Amino acid sequence: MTMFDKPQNIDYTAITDEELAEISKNRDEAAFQELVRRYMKQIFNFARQYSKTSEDAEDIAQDTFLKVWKYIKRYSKGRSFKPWLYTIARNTALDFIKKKKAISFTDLDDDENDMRFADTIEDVEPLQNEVFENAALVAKLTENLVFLHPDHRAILVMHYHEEMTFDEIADIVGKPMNTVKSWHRRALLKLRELLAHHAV
Amino acid sequence: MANKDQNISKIIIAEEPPSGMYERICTTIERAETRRLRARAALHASIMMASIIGFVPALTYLIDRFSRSGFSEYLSLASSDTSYVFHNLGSFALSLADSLPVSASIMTIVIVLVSLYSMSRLARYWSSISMREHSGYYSLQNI
Repeated sequence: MTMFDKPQNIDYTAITDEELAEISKNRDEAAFQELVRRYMKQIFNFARQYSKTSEDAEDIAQDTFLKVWKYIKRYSKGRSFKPWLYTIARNTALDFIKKKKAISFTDLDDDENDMRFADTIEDVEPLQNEVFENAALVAKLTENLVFLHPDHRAILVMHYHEEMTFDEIADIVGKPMNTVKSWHRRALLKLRELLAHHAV
Repeated sequence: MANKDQNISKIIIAEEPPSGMYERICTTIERAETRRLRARAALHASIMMASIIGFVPALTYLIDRFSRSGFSEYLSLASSDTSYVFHNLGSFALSLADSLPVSASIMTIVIVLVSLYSMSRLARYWSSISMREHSGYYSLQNI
């Protein structure tokens, strides 16, 4: 089925992501455009964690959707679409960063250390509730997010904004769940550290 | 946990994508799709040309094999002496089949089928490309 013989009476807004992806496999651009519409903002914000400017984030988002369109036939039926999309977005973002050679990934490549780290740190609330009652501190924390590693920021976005579980995030970043949990804790501890530094 | 989640969400501010980003993404995808269609059309045009070029020697070879095989003699026997053929239908059919130049026939049929298939695909891709370029598809649907 091509774009010219597809049924014209489908209400794309009423069907699930997975169904849209299946329809897109038949090169149905209208179905794919609906997926773009649904995820454009999320992918842009996700890409924003890996880029310094919103122009770069747009490039990453554009490349992501282009790759998804190109390889949509590889999307396997029954798999959830969102994690698949985010996996492509992360890989695209990392490729983009590598091209720009902006950061080093050596600190993230040591899974074993990450898991040891996850085991050693206490499961405490790294940021006190009171912090969030102070608008100035919240603004400062937002500013300080730029000092976190892009993957750590992305995890915060995926977990707190997109409400993804650590299991889903682990699937997206292709790391064990303990590594993801340790990245998450590192991110929160780093924020606490930055906050303490600000308080001083 | 819910409270903690809400707190962390406060520091992660979702940015609005730049205006026109959706249109730019869709246009990029449409251009990529047009390029894909053009590449496919070029591939099928090449296959079609190759099969048309290959058809000439294949047909010559097939005619040559038919003339050498005695197949035409069996056919003329079928039209000239029908009663004899009917009485010995089994052995006649066997001889007829035996005289058929199978490999040459299969080769020619495959070339014809490939050529027809490529022609139909080429026509389909061509019409898709021209419809895209002339029906204003680039103006984007559903915006």
